[in-house]
Parts: sequence; structure tokens; C-alpha cells
Amino acid sequence: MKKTLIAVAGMLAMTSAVSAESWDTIRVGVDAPYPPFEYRAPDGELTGFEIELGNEVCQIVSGNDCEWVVQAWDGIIPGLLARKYDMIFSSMSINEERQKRVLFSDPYYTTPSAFFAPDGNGFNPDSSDGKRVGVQRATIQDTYVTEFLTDAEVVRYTTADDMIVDLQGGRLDAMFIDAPVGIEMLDGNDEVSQVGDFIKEPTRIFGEGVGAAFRKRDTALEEQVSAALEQLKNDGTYDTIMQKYFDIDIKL
Amino acid sequence: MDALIALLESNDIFTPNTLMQYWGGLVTTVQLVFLSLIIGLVIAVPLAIMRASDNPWLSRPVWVYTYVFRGTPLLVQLYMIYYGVTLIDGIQDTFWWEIFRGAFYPALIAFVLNTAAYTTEIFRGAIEATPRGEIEAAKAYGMSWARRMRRIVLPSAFRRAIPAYSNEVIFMLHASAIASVVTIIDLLGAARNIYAQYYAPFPAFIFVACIYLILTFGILGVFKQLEKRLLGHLRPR
Repeated sequence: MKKTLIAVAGMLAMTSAVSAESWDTIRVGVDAPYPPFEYRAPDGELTGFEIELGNEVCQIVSGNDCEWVVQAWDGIIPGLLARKYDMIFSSMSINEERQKRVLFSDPYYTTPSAFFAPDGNGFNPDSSDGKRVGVQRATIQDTYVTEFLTDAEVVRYTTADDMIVDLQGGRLDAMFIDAPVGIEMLDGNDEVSQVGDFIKEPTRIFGEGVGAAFRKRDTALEEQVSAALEQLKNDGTYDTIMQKYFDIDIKL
Repeated sequence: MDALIALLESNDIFTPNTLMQYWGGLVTTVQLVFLSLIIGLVIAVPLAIMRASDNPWLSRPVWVYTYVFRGTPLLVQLYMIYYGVTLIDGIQDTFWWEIFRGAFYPALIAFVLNTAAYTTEIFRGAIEATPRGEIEAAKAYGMSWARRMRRIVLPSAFRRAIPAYSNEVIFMLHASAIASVVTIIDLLGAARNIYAQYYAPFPAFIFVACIYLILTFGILGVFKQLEKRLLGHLRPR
């Protein structure tokens, strides 16, 4: 009996030791749809900038494409900590609050945020008294409007599409969202447009860019992913993917 | 008290700021539930009388209404009303939009319609359970239909309905948590904000669960007193 136990324990120890060193497939958490970073193509397949870049990273680290796990944004860090996936590759900005919980790779892109408002409603971020401004809950945009638009009524959404529906239905005076996401989601909509400049200051809120996130103990995986990102940035793969999705330069 | 303040200061999640968020959520939840129950009750009494009537022109439409609202999930009804109103052409330019723009009134309407449907059926059952003898006695005294309703049928029906209605009140309190999906910051909405802010689901939700529990016990206590007063004659001696 004791022998079997020791044998089983030994086998368990071996398997876990193996999985810590080399990864067959990496399970990656992503909040989709968040176009153009991650969304479903008409055939139902996940695609987008981060999906393509992530698959390249997984190819280098594990030799396979990533195994994507779709997870709503407000549960994405708890999901990582609960081991539903091993990495978050979902436009997560690096900031102090999050660094208490997770380990970030080197940043791989940065985007500004922007206000979008229906044409002709005269919304102005500098005089937002009593206006209803939508943000996605627990994003850096949420932190920004909470701090700087103190007069406005901040309406928090779980997903970006709910917010867009309410913006188009007239329930919101404006929304504050990642600029490329807003531009992409409102593509072909001539009733809503960007108001004011791109906003990426202060870095205290908008952070040092977007990184992949890991559980704190998975330092080996973090190093492999950071190295893979570095390689892709240098060999031109990154630029090819970026130019496919963006007119602006988001490389970091 | 000092110990409580010290505890709060050493705590990351339950700061005075988040407790104020919970307080705001509590106020919204209580407003939403209380208003929908009151309005629902006012609507339900005439509907229940119609529903209990022998005239199919009166009872059938009410049956359709209660059938639809009891037969579909409250969440679906909330979505239909919240998103549905924005599709009405030009509503954004009328004064109605002041009411429907925020999420509170659409949610209130959905809750009122839902609770009124259940309450109608509870009262209908209670009205139909009126002992025949009481009605015959009232008729023998020459009471008109309206006087019979007012003096005999409704008072005893209300008493019979209290235990079932207390369940409906508690269900309504719990169902009100879905208001948070349409951006209302009720108790659960506050808990979701705090959870998302600190990535700490367990403390955020266990705290809000305790508040719901306290509210539920409060409601149970009130109904226990009511039953003691109004249903005392039915208790075993």
C-alpha cells in the first residue's frame, strides 16, 4: 500500500515537473469580442490582432497554437488565479493594482483611449456636468473617468457591446473606450464619432502598455513569452500582423 | 466602535468608500423592491377580482397577462423593456425619454408587471377559497356585490393570502438582483463593482449575501407579526 502511494506521488511529481518546464499547449484567457484585438470571424473562428500574435507566441513557446478560453473581462484575473487558463492575452494594461495580483510580461502594445459621442449632442469631456458617460467596468478608462469626470454620471458595463447598444439607443451621452476598439466597433456608423483627442496620460492610470499576464509563480513561462514577443517584434512578424489590423502604430 | 474602525483601516476591501457604495446599492435595492411591491399590489387587487370573475370577458385577458408574465423569465422581461423602448421611433425626443433614459424606471416597470402577475394569482386563489356559506349568508342579508366584496370576500381573502404573499415579497427581493445587468447599481451592482475593482469575488459577494440575508429576515419578521395579528384565529390552541 505504502509503495503504491509513493509510486503515485512520484508519478504526480514527475508530471508536474514536466509541465512546469515545457508546455504542450498554453491555455490563454481572452475577453472576446473586443475587435480588432479579438473577435469572431463570420465562420465562428476567433481572430484578431491579439489572437494572431498570441498564436505566434504560443508556436514559439510550445510548438502549437494557443488554446483560447473566452472569459468575460470582470472575471478574467480570478479565472487566471483559479487556473482556468495559464496566461491572459487580452489587452490588459499593466498597472500597479494588477501587479499586486499577477505577473506581467514585457509590454507588447499601447493604445490611446478616446471619447465617442453621438453627433450633434454637443458632448465635451471638459464640461461633462450631469452627462451619462459609459465605460467598461474595472478598465483603466473606468479609473480615468471616475477620477477626472467627477461631475458626470459614470455608467459601468460588463461588456463593450452592451455599452454600444446603449450609446446608439441614446441612453449615454458618450462612452470612453480604447480608441482602436471604438473606431472598429463604430465602423460604418455615421451617427457616432470621436470627440476630442486621443488620451494616454497620466501613465499612472494608462500604464506602461499592454502585457500578457501570468500567475506570480509562473516566472519561467513569463520569461519564455517575453522572449518570444521580443523575437516577433524584431523579425517583422509583429509588423505584418499589426498592419493587417491598424492604420496607427501601436508597437511598443 | 474603535475596534471596528481599526478593523476597517486595516482592511483593503471594506474601506469607508466601498461601504458607502454598498449603502448606495442598499438604498437602490430597497427603493426598487418597495416601489414595485406597492404598485404591484395596487394593480393586483382589481386584476385578481377580474380573474376570479365568472365572466370570461373579464377573466380571460387577465389570465393571458398572468400566463405570459409568469411563464417567461424576469430577466427576459427586463431586457425586452430596457432595450425595447429604445426602438420606439422618436421616443428620444419626447418627455418620456426623461423617464426611460436611465435604467431605473425600465427595471421598475418590469418588476411591477412581474410581481403584479404573481400577486394576482395569489389573491385569485384566496378569493376563490372563500367559504360558500359566508357568501350565501351575505346574500341573505341583501348585500350588493360591491358591499359583499368589501366586507366579506376581500378581508378574509387578504388574510388567507398573507403566507403566500410573504414568499412573493422575498422572491422579489432576490429577483431584484438582476437589475444590476442593466447598469443599475443596486446591492449586487455595488458588489460587482467592488469585486472588479479589487479582483476579490469572495469577500465582495459574501458581504452582499449577508445584507440580503438580513433583509430577508427582516421581511420574515414583519410577516410573522402580521400573521400573528391577522391569522391568530386560525392558530391551534
